[in-house]
Amino acid sequence: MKETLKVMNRMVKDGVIEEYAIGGAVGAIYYLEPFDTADLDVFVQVSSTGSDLGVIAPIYDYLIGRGYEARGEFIYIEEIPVQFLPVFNSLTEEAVKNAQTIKYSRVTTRIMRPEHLVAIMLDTGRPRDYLRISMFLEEGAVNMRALNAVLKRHGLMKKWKDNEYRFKP
Amino acid sequence: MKKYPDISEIIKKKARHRRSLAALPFEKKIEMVFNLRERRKFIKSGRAVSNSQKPKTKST
Repeated sequence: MKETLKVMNRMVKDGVIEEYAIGGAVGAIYYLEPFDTADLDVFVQVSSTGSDLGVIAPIYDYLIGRGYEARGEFIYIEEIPVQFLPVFNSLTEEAVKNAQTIKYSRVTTRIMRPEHLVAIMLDTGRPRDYLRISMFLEEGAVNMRALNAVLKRHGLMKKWKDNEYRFKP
Repeated sequence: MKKYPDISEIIKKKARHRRSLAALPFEKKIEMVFNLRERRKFIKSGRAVSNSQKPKTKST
């Protein structure tokens, strides 16, 4: 994974993406116990705007031009299946902007904060997302005050209240 | 009334183990994810073998 992260950092340097942050299961694993997952979800801020997925086409062009293979919804970077997701609402945009910088085997990378991961999972709302939210709460891995602020800012307070019973340990 | 064993100590130990896993360095956790993936492949391959060994029912 170290080499995958190096490639992503190179993409920022080369201006293909403005910024990125790891989210999804791997983002959650940073804060929780490890669990099985298939891919690395990378949320990207790109300079171009648009309502279709064409905004991430330059990423694919860049990587395929360097010999990486796109298969299904993934692009394999140094053997890791990576799913690039453009920031698609104000919540994911804020999550990328406020991600924390960490070191992975001496390589700098960015991971979403737990409160944003939880808010995105709530917004997505699949059973597995609810399960992971309860893992975050059980581990005490979220700052509840910070989480409430994120939920309020992005209009997710009602959804939280409606589903809170699912997460309570 | 039937008496069942109290497993609360096991549950507590499991929670402690989960917390200790969560506290591992990120690199170590990712390594474990890769191992889990390998294990999943192995388990899946095992299932395929056992399915193929199931006796076929005779059609009448």
